[in-house]
Amino acid sequence: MTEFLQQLLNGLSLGAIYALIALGYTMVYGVLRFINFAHSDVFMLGAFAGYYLAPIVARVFPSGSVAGAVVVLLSAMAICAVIGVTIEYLAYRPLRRRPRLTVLITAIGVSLLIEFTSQHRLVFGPSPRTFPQLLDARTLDIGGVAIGTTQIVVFVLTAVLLAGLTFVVQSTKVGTAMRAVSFNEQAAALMGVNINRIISFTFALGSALAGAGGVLFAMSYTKIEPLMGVQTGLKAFVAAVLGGIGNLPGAALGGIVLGVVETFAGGVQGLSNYRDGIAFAVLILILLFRPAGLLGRAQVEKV
Amino acid sequence: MPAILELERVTIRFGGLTAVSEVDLALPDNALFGLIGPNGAGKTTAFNLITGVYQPTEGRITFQGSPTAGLKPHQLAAHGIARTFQNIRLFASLTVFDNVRVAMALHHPHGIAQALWRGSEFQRGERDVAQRIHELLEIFNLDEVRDVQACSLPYGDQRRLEIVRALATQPRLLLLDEPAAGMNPTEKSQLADLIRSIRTRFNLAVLLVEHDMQLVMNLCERIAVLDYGVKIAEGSPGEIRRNPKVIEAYLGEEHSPDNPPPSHRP
Amino acid sequence: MKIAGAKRWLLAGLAASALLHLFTGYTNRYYLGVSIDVAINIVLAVSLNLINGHTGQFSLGHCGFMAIGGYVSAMLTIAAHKAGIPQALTPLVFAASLLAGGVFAALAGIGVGIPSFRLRGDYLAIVTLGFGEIIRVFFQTFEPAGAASGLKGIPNYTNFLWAWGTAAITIYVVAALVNSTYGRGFLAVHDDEIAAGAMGVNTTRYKVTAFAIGSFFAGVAGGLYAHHKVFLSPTGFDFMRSIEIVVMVILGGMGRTAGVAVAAILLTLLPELLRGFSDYRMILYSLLIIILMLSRPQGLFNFVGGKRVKA
Repeated sequence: MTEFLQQLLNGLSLGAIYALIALGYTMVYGVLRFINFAHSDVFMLGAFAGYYLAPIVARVFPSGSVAGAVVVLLSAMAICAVIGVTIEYLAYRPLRRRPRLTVLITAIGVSLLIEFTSQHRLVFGPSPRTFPQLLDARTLDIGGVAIGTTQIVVFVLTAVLLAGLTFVVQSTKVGTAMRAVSFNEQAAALMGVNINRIISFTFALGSALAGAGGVLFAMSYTKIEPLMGVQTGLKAFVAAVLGGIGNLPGAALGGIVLGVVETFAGGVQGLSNYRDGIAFAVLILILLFRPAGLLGRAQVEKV
Repeated sequence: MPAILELERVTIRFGGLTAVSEVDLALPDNALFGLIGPNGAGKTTAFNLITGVYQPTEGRITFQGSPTAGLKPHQLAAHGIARTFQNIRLFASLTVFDNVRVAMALHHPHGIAQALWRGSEFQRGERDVAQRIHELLEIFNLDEVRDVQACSLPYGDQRRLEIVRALATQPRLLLLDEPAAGMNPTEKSQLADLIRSIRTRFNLAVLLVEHDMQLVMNLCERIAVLDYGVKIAEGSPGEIRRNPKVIEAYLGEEHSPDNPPPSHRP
Repeated sequence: MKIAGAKRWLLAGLAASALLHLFTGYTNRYYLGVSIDVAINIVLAVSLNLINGHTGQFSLGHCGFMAIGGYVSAMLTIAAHKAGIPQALTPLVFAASLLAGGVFAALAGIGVGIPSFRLRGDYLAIVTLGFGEIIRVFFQTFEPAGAASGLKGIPNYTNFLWAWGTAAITIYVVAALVNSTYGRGFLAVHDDEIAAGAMGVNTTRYKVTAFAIGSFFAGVAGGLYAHHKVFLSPTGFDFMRSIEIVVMVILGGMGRTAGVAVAAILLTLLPELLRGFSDYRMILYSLLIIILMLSRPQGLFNFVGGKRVKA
């Protein structure tokens, strides 16, 4: 039982990170209907932003303090938001009226560009680095289940960010505009919504969440490297599809389901080697029975 | 005359919405049959039921004496039901010629092996197909644009090409979904002549969904009226014109069948 | 019997491969290796083009089929090698192993193609991507094929003739298939599935056929690749490899066989040409992809204004 709870806890904290990244995929898909491949690299850049910011922040705030960690996290999020908006402005905006496949390939190009540039020795270099400890590592023991401080931070922050996102999307003017653009871009434009501004905002929001995911991932798993986004990003994307792409609660749910399933599968003897494949097997199974994802609504084509 | 198509108490529900409700319909062979009704009355849904895009929730459809339940659109096409679409659905990137060619495959099958071997039989078959496409396109004055991409044709030509493509499947029943939409009066009267000549020339029955009352009244021998998914009347054009239920259905929109609202002419 | 126009091209392609093959003894090994890489990529891109370009089923798992073909064919020739097959029979053994690899890949392709009648667009893309990843993970743990450390000791059978001969056959098969009354059905499925169905096209069967034929050739390409590199590693079949092939198809103009073949040549040579700037070459490569998409979004060789390319 404790073993089960422990795994569940680990799965949930991995799932929370997937959820943060998945939200960015799903939001961009909602407004632009394409898979932003570069999103996984924004996640990686978030981790590296945290890596370089931590020593600077440590000069002002005592190292290991919660305030310091929050400052690092928020700055990394801000940096990622700027990066996300810049990518959209330079690479995707000129292709707004082009077929989606064109934008998709451009996104792949941007993703490769970021990965190869980061691997260059004058940038981050290819070898892994150890992420500085932002918080004092302590482990609480609750009935035999070990909870690290980092895990608690991951849960709390994810919950706060999700609540914040829900508030922005559901209750603010800009969130309403986002939903309008997602529902029908042309009609939204006719109603006076500034499409370009909303798309930029969407990228800012999604990238900030990916940045947060990057820092939290780095805090949890301590090793960071330029290609860390590839597998994690892919899984997060799977999570977004799993939940029904374009659907925000779906992305969060998909992330958590995926994290838990993967962690449990990793704990099973004989299955652990297949851990990376399991995410996809689950995805395929679910899509066969629910072709539009867990929370997605099947779209019937009008004849 | 025996019925080529029969609908018996056909019903389809989407969730809570009953789009077509207990509709009976018998289409005589070789008929020019009109299906009319206000917007959202379920006319296109009825087409989709007949062509196998949807399966009825209740009731049964029989085509040439055999039930169509469970058959897919491509199987029904092979049985002899062809259609056009309300919002033109040509193969946009293909040429006029190739649009018809796709439909030709149904009765000129040659499969993969022959396509790869390209023997003399294959070549004879392909020449035959080309010849038949040529003949069809000639009839509809489309032969000159045979190598033009379908999506760059003028609107009226696209509508006619859709009819040619449907005819290439050698149907016994042709369903036309608002063929006159977006046409001017001259084009409409030409279209009526065309539909009449198709019926004779290709010896088939035509079921027509159309908003233009004048066209339907002039062209069709028999007309059924749908309103909110229910068949409220059926009869000759004269009977339909006088039927109080029909007038009421259209008056509900403050227009009589002879004077449909402008929104019915997209 | 008169040889039909298309078949003449195939024979010309095979003859040219054979003729050039005679001179490979005099060429630099590096150039020879690159030319074989080019041919293998042509096979991959042209076969993916049947699925993605012609039939419009967006697949992101093409190198999964390549991996299956590569491993199956390599394990067969290694076994034959160990069993002591006489030298004279090696071409036969190799051909049989390539076919076997292709058939296994095609079976997997049918398996992937069948759900595709329920899934559209991005969902299909992600299922194929997932399939590719599952294949990779499978070979990573598959002990008889060396698991994560890779499959070593594959005989070096692939030469210029095998590679370019296969490329010629692939181009011929895809082009001949599509250029027939039957084959226009693939394009119809691409343009409008509902209309295609109404015209009597069995859309599901066409999609599965496209997957079967496309993945067959991907499997053969995998076999050629295995016997060219003489070493297979699961990491060589990751999702980036599939993406590379997709990029070739899109740059070639989606559904234009000749354009896709040329794109395959250029995109294989490009990283080689950039070898002089070794530190920067992959950065330049990705920059070029972005610039190409921004400046010629309809594909490099599509001069009709991109009408063939549909979202």
